[in-house]
Amino acid sequence: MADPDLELLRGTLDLLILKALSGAPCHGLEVMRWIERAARDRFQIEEGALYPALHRLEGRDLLEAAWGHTDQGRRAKYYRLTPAGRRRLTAETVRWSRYSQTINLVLAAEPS
Amino acid sequence: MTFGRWPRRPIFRLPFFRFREHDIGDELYFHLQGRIDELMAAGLSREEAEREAARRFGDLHRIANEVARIDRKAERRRSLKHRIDSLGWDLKLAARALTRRPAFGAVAASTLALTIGANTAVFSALRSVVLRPLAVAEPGRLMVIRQDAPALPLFGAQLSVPEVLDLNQERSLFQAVAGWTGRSFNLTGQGDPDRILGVATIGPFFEVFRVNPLLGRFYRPEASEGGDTRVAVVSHAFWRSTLGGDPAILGRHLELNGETYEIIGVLPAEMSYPSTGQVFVPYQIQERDRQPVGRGIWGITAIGRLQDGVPVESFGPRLGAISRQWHERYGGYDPATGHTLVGQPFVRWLAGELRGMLLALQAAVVVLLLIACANVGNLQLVRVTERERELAVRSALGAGGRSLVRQLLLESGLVALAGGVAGLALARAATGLLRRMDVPELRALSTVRVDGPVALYSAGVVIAAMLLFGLLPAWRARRPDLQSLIREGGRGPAGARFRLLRAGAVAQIALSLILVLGAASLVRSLGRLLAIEPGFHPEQVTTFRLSLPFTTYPEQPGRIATFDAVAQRLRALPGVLEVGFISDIPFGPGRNSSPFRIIGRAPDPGGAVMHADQRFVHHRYFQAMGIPLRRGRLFQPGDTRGTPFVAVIDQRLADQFFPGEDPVGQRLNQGPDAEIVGVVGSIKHGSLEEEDKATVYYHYRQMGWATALTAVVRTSGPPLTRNQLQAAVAAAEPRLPVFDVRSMQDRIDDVLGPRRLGTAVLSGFGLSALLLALLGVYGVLSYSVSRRAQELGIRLALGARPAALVRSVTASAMILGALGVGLGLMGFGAANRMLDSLVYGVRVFDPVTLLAGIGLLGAGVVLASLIPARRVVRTDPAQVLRQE
Repeated sequence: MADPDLELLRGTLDLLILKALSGAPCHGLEVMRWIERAARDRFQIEEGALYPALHRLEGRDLLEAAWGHTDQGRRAKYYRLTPAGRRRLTAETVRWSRYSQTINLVLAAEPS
Repeated sequence: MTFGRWPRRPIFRLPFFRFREHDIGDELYFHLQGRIDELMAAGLSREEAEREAARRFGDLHRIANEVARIDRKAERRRSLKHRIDSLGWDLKLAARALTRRPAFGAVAASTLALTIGANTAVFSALRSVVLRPLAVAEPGRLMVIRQDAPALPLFGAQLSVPEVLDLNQERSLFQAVAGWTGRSFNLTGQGDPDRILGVATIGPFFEVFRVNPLLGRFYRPEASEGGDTRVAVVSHAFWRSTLGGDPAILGRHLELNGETYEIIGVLPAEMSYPSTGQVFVPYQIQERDRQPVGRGIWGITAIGRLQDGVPVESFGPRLGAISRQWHERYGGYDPATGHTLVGQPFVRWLAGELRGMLLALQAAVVVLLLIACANVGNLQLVRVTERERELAVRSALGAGGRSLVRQLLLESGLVALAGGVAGLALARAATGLLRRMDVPELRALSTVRVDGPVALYSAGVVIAAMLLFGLLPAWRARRPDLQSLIREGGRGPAGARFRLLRAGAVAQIALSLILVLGAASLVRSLGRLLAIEPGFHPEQVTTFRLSLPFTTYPEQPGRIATFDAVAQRLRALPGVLEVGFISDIPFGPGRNSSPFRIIGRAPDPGGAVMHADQRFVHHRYFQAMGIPLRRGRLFQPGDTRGTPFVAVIDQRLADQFFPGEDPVGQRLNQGPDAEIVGVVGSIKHGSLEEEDKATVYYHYRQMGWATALTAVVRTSGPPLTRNQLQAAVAAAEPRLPVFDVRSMQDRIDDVLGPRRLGTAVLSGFGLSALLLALLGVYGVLSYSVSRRAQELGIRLALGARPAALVRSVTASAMILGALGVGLGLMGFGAANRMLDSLVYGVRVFDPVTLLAGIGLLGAGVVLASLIPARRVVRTDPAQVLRQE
């Protein structure tokens, strides 16, 4: 379902996922946990939105995936950034920073 | 839903991705299981944990489906990218293979360029002349209506004004019928006085063609009856060129023949009929048109649009019925003449003689393309064979049969594309040339151009060509026979492939024979036509037209005086031997004919109906044209108004109606009574191949209106220039423009215009076909010799005489030739019917033509075999054996 708020969130979610995978490869659950931790549990991401986002990023060759095994021996799909993904992460981070700075600037200005 | 185990049943319907469903399921369930473990570790029971995890996750089915959809899209995109990449790679390989041996690519592409270009050019001519000559609504419903009177003989005569108006009332057959007749106008007030060709229309002319004005409006049919008749509609071309494309043209005035016309409309560019029409005015109905005699004045070209629902096949019979009604209702029609109204589709009539010629050319050019494809196909086959080693190795290394085929097809495709692009450029140049041919009979070609549909046709031709010459060799390359290759060291003749090469050569010979024979027939036919004597001496004769409109020269004596003055001035020019005038110049536009009777002879009800051409001439006309006098005398200046009417008849009339007796002294009546004073030789008027038609000449000082005449000037040396003629005319009468200046020979040649063009083009095709076929034969023989080099070397070493080997090479060439000739003759027989209508005076299966064609081809084949044969002789057996 197309929820306008969710649209915005999807773009932001992509950025968070890219950041989450900027280190070692993780599987979906690990990505989720990392984001929750990094955000100090301040917001809830709908769990169902994660996997479509992951697969979409993989389809765009920003991530690559491989099946592996967890420490417990369970079969899991691991993701990691491609070089293109890494470049996208940098670019999007810069954009986000500019965006939020601009918003803050406007909010801090005197109303007419 | 059970957790804790990975369910193996499919959880959603995705027929392709059955193997993938498990992966997605595994991934999602792994996540769920992880959450459940967390929650249980936080203290929830299993059921609570499962429920909470499921709640937090969301709709599992929906998410799984969405993920599957995303994966599918990505997969499609990737495979498409892969296909494009591999295609790009193959293209690069193909291009490289072609550039490594540029000879093949260059030869093949040029051959194709020429034949595809020819195809495109002919098709665009066909399209604009035959298929879609007029961009009006439903041109197939337009019919041109004429009159025949076979007993006279008279065919294809125009209609009169009352007849056209009558037909317009036949609403059950026609939606509308209108007509037009040509007008010459002296245009003044726009710079120098000029001559423009106009059209006077009668009836709903613009409605028949369903055109809408580009600017302004059209005049209504009622304008012919009276009232506001001084209005004009101009053609698009005239508006753009002479009137400068002035957007404020409406309301401007034109001075035509001294009268002022207001311009009320401009035609759109698509309305290019009549092609001579620069200005359209309403025809002014005169008193004589309303009287019974007016029904017999035939000068209107009538065109009608069929009523909706009327089938085209019923058109002829219904016209016949209308004719019969007219015979009953109106006097003046003599049913004994076999008079009837006839019609034919307007589009077909417009194309005229060009139609048959163009259809034949289209067929010929397709044959030429087939030859070219066979030629290139053979080249490709040879190339494939030479790369057999390479292809076999690649095949052994695992390149699938399909990718080899694909690469070869791509090579063929690139060659075809190059040929097509070059061909299109050639076609554009050719059509540009055709457009500029300023011959009246070829005027239909003025709209030939390479446009969208033609380019589409060209693309289709390219694809067809590529399939024709590319598919078979590529197919052959599918599974190179590795074993035999290794065994024979790559030098075996590869029987099947050789058969194909030979078959290709035979096909080329057969097809080219068809074209050569066709061209030969046309050439001979043209020769026959050109050999026909027109009945006069056209050399050294220049002609031009003069028009004295009624308004400026209201009285006949004044007009006669003017023409006499002009004749005097012309006669005074240096080098001029004779000067004459005539109302309708032979091989020119217009022809006047009328029934007559012989005084003192009882009408013969069962005999030939008496109808003759009528001409009004200056008394020196016969000398100027070189028409011989057979009996009696010619006109003299004394035969003028007030003296008894005299007439000069031609030999045909004498033979037809005065067999065995002397016509001189007898009287005939074709208007007023006139005494026959002389008999001259018959001449051709419309075309060289027509039958002579009885003609009566009158002295223009006595009879006729003398408004528009053609001057005939015979010179002893080179012809006079337009300026000289204009100066002479101006000295007699300054306001008179000289127009339609042509030599008499040109007029005759122009009538043959379509025929000459067609013959020339077809001969070009024939020669090209011959050349291609001979190249093909040469190629096959040369290849065969090179393949058999080892065998030949051994035979030479063993003492075989070179002459015998040469004979064997020549013999195989002759076999190919014989097979090809045999097939070609059969094919030519089939094409017979198409050629019949175009060939004059020569039977299509004429022994001379056949011998010439076969002889030419045979000689060519022998010649083509000489070079490979010579190579056989020069073979050094030692060297050949060493190479092994």
